[in-house]
Amino acid sequence: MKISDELCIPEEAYEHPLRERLNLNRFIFCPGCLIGTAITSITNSLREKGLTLKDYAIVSGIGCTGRSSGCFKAPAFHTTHGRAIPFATGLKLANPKLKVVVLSGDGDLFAIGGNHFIHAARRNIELTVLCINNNVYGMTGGQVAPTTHIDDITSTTPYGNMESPFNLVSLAAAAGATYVARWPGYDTLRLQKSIIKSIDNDGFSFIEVLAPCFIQYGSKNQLGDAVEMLDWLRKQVKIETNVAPHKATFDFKKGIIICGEFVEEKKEGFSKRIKQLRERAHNKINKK
Amino acid sequence: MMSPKSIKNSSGIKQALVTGNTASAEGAIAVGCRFFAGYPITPSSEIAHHMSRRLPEVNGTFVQMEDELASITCSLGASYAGVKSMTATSGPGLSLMAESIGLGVMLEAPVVIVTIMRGGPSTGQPTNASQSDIYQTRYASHGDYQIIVLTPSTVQEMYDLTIRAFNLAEKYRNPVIVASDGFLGQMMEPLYYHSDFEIVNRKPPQVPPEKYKPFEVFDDDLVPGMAVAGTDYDFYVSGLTHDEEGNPDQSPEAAVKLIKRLSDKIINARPEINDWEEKYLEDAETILLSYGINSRGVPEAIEKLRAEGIKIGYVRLKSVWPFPDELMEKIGNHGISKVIVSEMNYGMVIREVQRFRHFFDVLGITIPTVIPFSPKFLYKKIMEEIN
Amino acid sequence: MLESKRKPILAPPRLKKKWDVYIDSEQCDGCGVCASFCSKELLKASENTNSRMLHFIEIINPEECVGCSQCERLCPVTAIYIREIDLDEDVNDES
Repeated sequence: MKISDELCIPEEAYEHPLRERLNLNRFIFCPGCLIGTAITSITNSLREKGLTLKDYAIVSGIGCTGRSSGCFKAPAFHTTHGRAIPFATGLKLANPKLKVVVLSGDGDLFAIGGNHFIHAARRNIELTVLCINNNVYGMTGGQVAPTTHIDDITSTTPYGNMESPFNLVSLAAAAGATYVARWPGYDTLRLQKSIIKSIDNDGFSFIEVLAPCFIQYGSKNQLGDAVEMLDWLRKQVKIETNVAPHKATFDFKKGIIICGEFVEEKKEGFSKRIKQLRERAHNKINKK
Repeated sequence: MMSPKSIKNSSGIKQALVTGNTASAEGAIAVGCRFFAGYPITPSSEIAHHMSRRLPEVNGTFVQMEDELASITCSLGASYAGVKSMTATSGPGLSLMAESIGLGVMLEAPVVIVTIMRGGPSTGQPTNASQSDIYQTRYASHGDYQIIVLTPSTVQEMYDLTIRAFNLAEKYRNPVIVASDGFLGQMMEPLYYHSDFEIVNRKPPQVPPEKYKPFEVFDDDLVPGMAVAGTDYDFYVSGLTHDEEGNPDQSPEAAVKLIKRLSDKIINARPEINDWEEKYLEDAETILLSYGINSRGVPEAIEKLRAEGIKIGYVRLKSVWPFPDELMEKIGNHGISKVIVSEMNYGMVIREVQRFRHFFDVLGITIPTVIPFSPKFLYKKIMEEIN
Repeated sequence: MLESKRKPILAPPRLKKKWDVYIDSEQCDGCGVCASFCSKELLKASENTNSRMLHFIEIINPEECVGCSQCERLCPVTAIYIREIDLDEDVNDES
């Protein structure tokens, strides 16, 4: 780390407080991409909770967000496309004391990984799943994703997208997630508090983080560069409370994106419940 | 038949009449498997049934996942949490698991997959035996990789070879497949629940956390020490081609180095992995080579032929991949002139044996049937081949 | 009497603060997200470039930073961060 001589010169060197928990050489994201912000937010939340690398594991899939697991100084797993959630389920069930965070993209979690997502939510397995929603398949060249909006231009929809997108919050809530939230990527304070809540939640927590891709999605739809797209996003985001999940509008055309916390329930987590099977098995043996 | 040291197993049973599927499950539990993530598929569902009942009894975890892709990936995750894990499936399920087998190879995660082969391709004949997936067990996933495949032929071997599969998986940090079939999985034979085996655990990290690189190798066996989640070690493991630190490396040198190491890890260990049963090799001019359930009719046929003066012996493979080249050389050194390969498919292992046709003639009884060859049928076919 | 200032007797003195802004010009990608969110608009792209030929961000008037730390929390690569420093003057001290 070098501190530039032309700027503020401190008396003693002061390092960014999160750098000891990050591998900066693995940050391969485009300049201004909010995936980096999500990574630092997660790291800060874990640090505020006082967790060390013995306590958690990070699992990611494939894609731009898939490269994020290596950025953490922690047990980090970069698995295959769509299979981050079952891998995380295996880690959690085999070692229930671990806090497992799944960081993946919208295509990875909801297209190829859709089946795994809904079943994990149904089981209420104690995972924290963060979906960095960039509305497109970024890493592979900007193809259409299940979260791309109607009439959007992408690499595989040059005449406009004819499919309606998923409403991820509504889907997660319907599948049975017990903590569901949506935040824009730049709202780091609320995002960090939400991440802490989701880690504390003894059940399936889902946070959708909005981080639209300006290189692939923005350039094809004339939305400008990183800063311009963030301004565009800021105009549409409305943070509201007490909104039902199926009413959490996400519409670029209408210009409304409702953010906030939508579901906050208490329900027994799967890894805890599965331990009951051991008791029952032992009771059955003792009865014989 | 081995003479067992009868010691009570965890359920207090010394010997029982069980199916092949049950035997495989019990072998897994005996060697320390405490995690099973599976999906039902005929004819392997009984392994899942048995594990769902037994694993909670031994404080393990059983979970039925939503599909085979989730099953194998979940088992890989459990492996990286430090627990010996397995899954069980059949041909169609193994096709679905293919990508994650490659992930297991790249992550160097120990995992055991029991595949109960059935009639194929596609939905095929779910309730019949088959050996048509032998190539699939070797080449299911994409990429240049090695895998260990064991082929039991009795219910006792389902127990013994599942135990061996776990030990090999832990020792070499690679997925290992136990390739059984629909008949062997469902038939019942006496099983001795012996404890006459060693338990091998994965190599722990050999340096402290500050110096640890997940794929750094210090030993001749080319196996790196494995750190798991929940300890003081941080590591980054990925399916991307990587260097010793786990950093994704897209250079040609990295590809050559990594693939060579992952492959040599298994190929160099072939003399230890090889496992076969042989008889009458000393005076034989012809050898009958078979594996799995199809070798059950072989001893009777061979005895009948020998009684008529035909100098024939047999070899039964208990591990098919990596292919035991050393066995072929041994047969060649004995001056045997003919090897007849008998298998229940249209010619798979015979192609491996044909690589050695500079040693001997290679003939085949390769029929893609779903019923194992009876001694009478083998006798007839061998007489045809010899004359 | 009631117009006189009421000071809490037992509370510790509230010190004036300043904020040091550190920018790692080598790590900075010049994306401009911090500049666009800075509540006092104190950040802009420099005319100089770093070794990766990117115009890194620099701070125009560091004394005016109020420590909202939006920049620190937003930066995707941990290139900008601030530190709060207590000065010796009391906030209520008008001398």
